[in-house]
Amino acid sequence: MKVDTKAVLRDVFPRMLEELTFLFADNSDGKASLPGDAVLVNIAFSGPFHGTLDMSIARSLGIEMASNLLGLDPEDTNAQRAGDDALRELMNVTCGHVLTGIAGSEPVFNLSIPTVRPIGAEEWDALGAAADVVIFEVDGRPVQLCVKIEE
Amino acid sequence: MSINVLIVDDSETVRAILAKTMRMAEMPINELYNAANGQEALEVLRNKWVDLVLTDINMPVMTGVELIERMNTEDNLKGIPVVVVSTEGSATRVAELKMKGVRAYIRKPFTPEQFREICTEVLGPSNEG
Repeated sequence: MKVDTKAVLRDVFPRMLEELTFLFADNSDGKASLPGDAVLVNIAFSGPFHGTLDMSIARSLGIEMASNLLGLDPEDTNAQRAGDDALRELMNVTCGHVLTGIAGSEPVFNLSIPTVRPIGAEEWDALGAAADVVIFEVDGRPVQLCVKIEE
Repeated sequence: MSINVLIVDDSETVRAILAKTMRMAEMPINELYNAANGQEALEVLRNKWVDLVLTDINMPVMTGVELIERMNTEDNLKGIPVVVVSTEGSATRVAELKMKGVRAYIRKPFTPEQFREICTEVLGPSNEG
């Protein structure tokens, strides 16, 4: 199926980020440089069509999100522990709204449980070079997002 | 009147966010119980008095839909109001959940005001804080 997933991501991600974590995303045109603590957050979906949503991001942004969500100091050990959980939750919410943006509100999709794992330059650059990648800047740090729909 | 609430979500952070949202919404909470999946939720429900269940759908071990189906088979549990809190936006899925007896559906993200409004609708005005 041919859908402008980049337009959907540009609309959905900044809204979800702001409403969920009180952080703001700016569109970024240039190549995003690898943060030292880069992770890949992945969620798969299946329904009338299937695929994945990938996000590469600095792990420290997850800690910032968790501290905003829970009202904790970013240095607090609870915020540190909750950082990956916050990234998974952001991914889960973003994916749900991206699928509505692509397919409308009738189809039923099943979502996988999001995963988070550290990545190096090779995987960061590969996602950054994908044709459908959308790059944002959040609090001075790059975030790369890409929807992959399998035919 | 204060209520006992069970929050079912596999993410400890999401459970903490929901608890915080309920405090911000000034809901009259007496006891707050937590479960990481449907199976754990059933254990709590069989042993504690719960007035309201807030559950995610997508969880390991036992999903929210399976939890609702199991609650419907147990006389002591089938009358407990269940509100699904999830990211999914499918009207078809929401209709299916309501057919299974789910009282309301809250789509993430939401504000404390939206949350309070829906919970008050489910529990009735006598449970307003």
